[in-house]
Amino acid sequence: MNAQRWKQIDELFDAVLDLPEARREEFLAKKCHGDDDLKSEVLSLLKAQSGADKFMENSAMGIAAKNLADEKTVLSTGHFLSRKIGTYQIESHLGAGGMGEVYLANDEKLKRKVALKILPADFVADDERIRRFEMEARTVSALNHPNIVTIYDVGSIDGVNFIATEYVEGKTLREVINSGQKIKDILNIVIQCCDALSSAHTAGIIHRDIKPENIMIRPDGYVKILDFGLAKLSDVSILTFNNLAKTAKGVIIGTPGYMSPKQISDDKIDHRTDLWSIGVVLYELLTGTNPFKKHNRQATFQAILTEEPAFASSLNSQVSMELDQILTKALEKDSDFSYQTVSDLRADLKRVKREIDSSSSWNLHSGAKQIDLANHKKSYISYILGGLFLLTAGFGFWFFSNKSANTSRKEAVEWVNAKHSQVTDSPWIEGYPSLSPDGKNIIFASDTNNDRNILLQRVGGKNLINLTPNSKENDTMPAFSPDGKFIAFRSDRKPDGIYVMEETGENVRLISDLGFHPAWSPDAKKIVVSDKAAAIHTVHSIPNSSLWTIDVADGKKQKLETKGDAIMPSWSPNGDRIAFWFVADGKLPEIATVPAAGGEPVVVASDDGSDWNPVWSPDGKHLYFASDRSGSMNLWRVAIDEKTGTQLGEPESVPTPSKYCRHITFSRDGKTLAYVRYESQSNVKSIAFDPKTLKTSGEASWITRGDRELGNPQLSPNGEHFVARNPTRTQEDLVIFDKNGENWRNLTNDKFRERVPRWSPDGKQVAFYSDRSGKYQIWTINSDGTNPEQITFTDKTGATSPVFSPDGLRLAFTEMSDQKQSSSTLDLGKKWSEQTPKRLPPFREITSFAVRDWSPDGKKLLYICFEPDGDETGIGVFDFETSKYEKMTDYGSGPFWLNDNRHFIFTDRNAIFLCDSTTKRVTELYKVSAYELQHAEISPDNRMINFRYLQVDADVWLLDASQNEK
Amino acid sequence: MSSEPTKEVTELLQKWSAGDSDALEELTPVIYAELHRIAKSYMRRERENHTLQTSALVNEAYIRLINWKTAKWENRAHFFGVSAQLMRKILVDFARKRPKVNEKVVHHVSLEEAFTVSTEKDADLVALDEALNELATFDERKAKIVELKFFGGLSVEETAEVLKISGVTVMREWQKAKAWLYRELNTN
Repeated sequence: MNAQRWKQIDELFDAVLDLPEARREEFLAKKCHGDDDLKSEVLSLLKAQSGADKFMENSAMGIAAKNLADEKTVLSTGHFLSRKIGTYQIESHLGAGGMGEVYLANDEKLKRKVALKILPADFVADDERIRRFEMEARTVSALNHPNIVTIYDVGSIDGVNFIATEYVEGKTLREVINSGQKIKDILNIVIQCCDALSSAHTAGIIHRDIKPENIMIRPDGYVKILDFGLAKLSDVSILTFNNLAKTAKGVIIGTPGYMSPKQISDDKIDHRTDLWSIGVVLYELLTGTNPFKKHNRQATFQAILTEEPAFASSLNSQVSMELDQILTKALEKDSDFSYQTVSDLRADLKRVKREIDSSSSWNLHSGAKQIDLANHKKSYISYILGGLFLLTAGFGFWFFSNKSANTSRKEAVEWVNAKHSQVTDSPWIEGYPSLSPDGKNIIFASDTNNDRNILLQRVGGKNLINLTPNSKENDTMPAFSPDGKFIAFRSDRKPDGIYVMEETGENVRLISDLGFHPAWSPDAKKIVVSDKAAAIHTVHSIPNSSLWTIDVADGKKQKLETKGDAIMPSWSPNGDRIAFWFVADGKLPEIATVPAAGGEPVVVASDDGSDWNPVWSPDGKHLYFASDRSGSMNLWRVAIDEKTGTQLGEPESVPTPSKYCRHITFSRDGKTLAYVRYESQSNVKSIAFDPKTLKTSGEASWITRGDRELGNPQLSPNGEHFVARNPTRTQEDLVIFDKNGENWRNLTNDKFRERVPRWSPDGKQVAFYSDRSGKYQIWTINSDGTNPEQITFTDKTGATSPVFSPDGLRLAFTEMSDQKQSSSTLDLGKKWSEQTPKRLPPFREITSFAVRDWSPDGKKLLYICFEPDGDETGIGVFDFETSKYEKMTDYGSGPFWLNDNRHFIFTDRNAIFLCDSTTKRVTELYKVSAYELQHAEISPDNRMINFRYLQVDADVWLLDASQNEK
Repeated sequence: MSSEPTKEVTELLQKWSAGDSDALEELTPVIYAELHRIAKSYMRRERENHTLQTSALVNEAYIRLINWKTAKWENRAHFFGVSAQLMRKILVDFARKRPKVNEKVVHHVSLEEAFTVSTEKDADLVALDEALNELATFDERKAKIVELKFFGGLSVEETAEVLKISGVTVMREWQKAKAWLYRELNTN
């Protein structure tokens, strides 16, 4: 508007305003001199003025605040109930937190439950924060740890910003505090938290808001930390005037009672802030009270900065002096004197826990413990029952807490308080311990020099005696005879088979030219063996093993009827039955027993986990075994009738400090048990390769590090992302991460087993095999985790090992059947029902074969073949033009073509090899000294070879329950 | 209430008025926090049917944020001027980043809540800001009055003091500015 014109309008408007309404029209008509525009302008302003009575009455700040309040009301609890956001169908409201409302939702595409956090509107309003938030969430989603809740998805749909995370069923630690948790269980919880924090801190991520509300415990005892790294993103919502002075400089993040002195004094915080917070949580779990919390924030801060908390033992007499000391160090105000890393705290807690675990006097204290617990719960109990019944109430409580523990996992009582000790501490892979009947000596297999030997060690001693020093071949699987005078073992020396020697290693003699896993009959006259060897973690298919009994005196062999697969036998103490494990088609390993003369197997302890390695207890009342039924591979036992093999109760867990146990052995009195604690991690490494000279150069570099079990890595066609198999303690999923090992995200995340991922040639999809439909079938999924689709629907047996044709139109896969494997190709453009997969021509010389790679020109396939005994015994090429198979090597696995369609790489044991398919010449490309190198693949540009690098440690541990009754 | 934050804010405002643009960055979270605090009371009070009290709350907030009662600057008027300008900037930025609460969403408000949500449509701060810019091109004084009074939370007297005009003039100008703005916002 022209200022001059406006002056005219404004003056007229001003004048009219003073007039009574009735006279305005007339006045205007006179003043406007026929300027209708001027008149209507003033009239409209007059009209506006009468309507603008309330307009802008509230100040701008009031309006802004009111709008905010309206939004908050509108977007409050339950607003999203039964709505659908993208693929997420919201089912119920779980709660509210600093990050907004949390809902339980069903991801309809991936068919899984997720916790969906919907960010508050005020959060969404800030672009910069959204950007920061997404960046942070992405960093956090790279944290791949079983004790950290996985972030599946971060996004915005229809203006709703959300984070989808793993949905954890269970309780928050807040609900657990004051529920009478045992010290041991508390330590177990906090140690798991430390595991998670340690892994996050290594990745440079600080939680910043560790508190009981952010820690969940699943019914199986698994701990999950929520909202990792998200704390600092929820800043504004916790601002108040009280801390404006601070907020002007920077934003305070945290929950007062759990904040570290540094967090309060607003110095630059680091990972030690989480350490402090977890210390507070531990204190609260042990005593039921937060050591610093006061009636208001200021007082709490004051306490954190100046007060020394009371010793936890003064509030809970069960707390040991050592735990007090640990807490003092964790809650040391000067961070130079406190724990420097979470691993240090974890180590100390583990030590205390081990002492509790092994404390032989623990039982003695249980009476006192009941009373302590009663005292601990005093206010509650006396409130209800009165002081008179204190002791009774204590018992009642004790009984109750015991019972509630039983509902989740029953523990084998004899072993709960047994003493744990580590027998071997070598960098080698110890295996197959066998305790002498008197429990004084232990023999086991270990890699010394360049082969496996059988070593003898006194229990409690340090000296190792090599019982097989003269053998240059592997000697393993030793077993003491029932009288302890002889040792049966497996040897690869010529001729290979089962040997028996004296306990001193002398007078070695062959008794059988076949067999693994020898086990003595109680009368020492026979040995039972299986004709295959297998370790559970390498089992992908049926071992197809049989049992044989061998006469120790004359070596006479007899096959034992087991009606199918049977491996790793154990003879019952009265000689009636033989236990073993087996794999049935499409199922996980299970345990069965048969009469010692063979016959119908009776399955025990059946479940949906892997059960294996059964060993009879010396009294014949239990069958001990290894099982991952509760997540990690641990020791279990089941009561059994030795005569009939009938299961007599629910399996009970044998508590150990290990996450992976195997190879169980007993002393004759059954009071000492030894096993192997197996720890492994496998990461991806990469080495440069020159496709011209066909040589690798330099040293291999790490792509990933840490406690992982990555396998089958493959770089995407654009060379940017890896896909890999990532089994955790509880799940087998696929992950995608950047070529530099960063930005982890789960491609799948469910209870099913997903294996051997392969990129489609266009890089948009990943094919893999999974048991999500009941048995292993080939699936594809978009690389962003959407649209999983089942490709094969083979009727009798499962399908595995997908391989895309280079044009992405066809897919080769391998079918498993009870006796052999064979491969077929299918048309990806057609539905399963509309096509008949083309089975590759029958394989003449060798029973089984499986396609592993398709040549870039599409003309040839690389396959690996198996001898009838199931071992991978070589690599061959199938030519589509001639329909002929041609064997290239006698060994190796995981072959991948180079882009020249002529050479391929493969791995065998600890080396990567190159083979020229025209000359069949094999050259070694790269060798590692470590135990194993596997799954080598070549990058799309052929300039990098990426492989799985396995680091394994296995040591013998002892569980001693002989002190229990004293 | 501690006097510390006020001092902090006052210092920041001084810095801003002295031309330190970083002060804006530091002040913004403070103002946002205050908004959240008022919004919370707003919600609480609305449920208790004490809607009117919120205006007192807002005044209180202004007083705390811009401690003009005790401010003894040599150039008090200048200080008020920049404070209002700054408030306007921060509040409009804030409003600009709000999600549009659309019809569909409003539909989900329960009956009870819908009843307490004001039926009188409050000014859209972003649109108002734009209209005010327009107004300033031909009537700077009116625009200034709106900025001081509406965005800066100044009373009529204080506005008068800043602009060195009478309170009556402020009232009259305010009334007319409102009419123009109201028309501007309602014709679009």
